[in-house]
Amino acid sequence: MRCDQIRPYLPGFVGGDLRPDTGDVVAAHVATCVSCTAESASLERVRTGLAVVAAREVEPPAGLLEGILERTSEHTHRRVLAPVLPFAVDDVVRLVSDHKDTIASAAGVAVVAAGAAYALWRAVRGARSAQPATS
Amino acid sequence: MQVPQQLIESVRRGEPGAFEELVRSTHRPVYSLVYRIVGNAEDAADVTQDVYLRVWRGLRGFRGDANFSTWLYRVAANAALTYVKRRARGGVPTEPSELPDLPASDGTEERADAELLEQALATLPDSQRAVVVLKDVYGWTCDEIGKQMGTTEGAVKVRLFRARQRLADELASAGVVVPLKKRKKSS
Ligand SMILES: [Zn+2]
Repeated sequence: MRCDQIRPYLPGFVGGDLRPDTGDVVAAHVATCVSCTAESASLERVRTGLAVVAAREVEPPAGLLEGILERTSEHTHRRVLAPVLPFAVDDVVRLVSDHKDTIASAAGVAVVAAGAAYALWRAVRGARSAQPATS
Repeated sequence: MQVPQQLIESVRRGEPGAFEELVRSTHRPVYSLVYRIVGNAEDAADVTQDVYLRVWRGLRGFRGDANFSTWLYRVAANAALTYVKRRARGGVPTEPSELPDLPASDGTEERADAELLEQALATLPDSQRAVVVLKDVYGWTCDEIGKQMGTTEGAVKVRLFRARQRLADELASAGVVVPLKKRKKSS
């Protein structure tokens, strides 16, 4: 068996991932071939190195933990949406009533604002009553 | 990654702060696995967030007798593989990844190899990287990987062998392994 026939099997040979009969043929060649032995050694070094990789941690980007907690919090009942709103729903209602005169000139705007306030109220209520999914 | 059974029970009971503690104590190894499969930091961060949503939703159905770490890694690998598959279908080329921040090497040979390999992994094609990461880094079997990726064990092995060869070539070109008198065919 020539080296160029054996070479494609060496990456599987080092991990014991070949079919037993194929593995035997490769082993017999490697036992008598200096160059394929050296090649196997460098492939083996890859496997040893990768096993060490498992124990290492890749540094996560800043804010990952906060991002996870924020996204999952949208699905938990304990962390309500209200505190992250930049304003309170009551404020929107008061704002609308304080500027009634201005807004009155554009009745449509008032309707939209009231609708927005209602949507916010619904959103907050929805978040408060959301429960973790059960399966 | 060790997660106390007590903590898992607390999360399942919905005790305040328990889920946050679970995320705090596991997100780094989970992110590392996802990063190694998807190959860049930005995508890995998105996928990791998705993993914890799945964990939150699935935890109530998680059987207490199964190993939680194994289950968590499986959820993470599944999310990362799904992402990579979708990315491939969309024809979006993998960005040649920026190199991750790694802890400084303490100088031992294995650690130096691991550092180089971690960087070399990011240069592999998606399908090869996913396979070699799950097999040689996390110790999955080719059969498990095939099932998870929706392909055959044989197809997994082809990718695995190509990936190992490429990584060996990378180490050789980095001067870590003395290359053979070039890789031309000898007979
Ligand atoms: Zn040979």
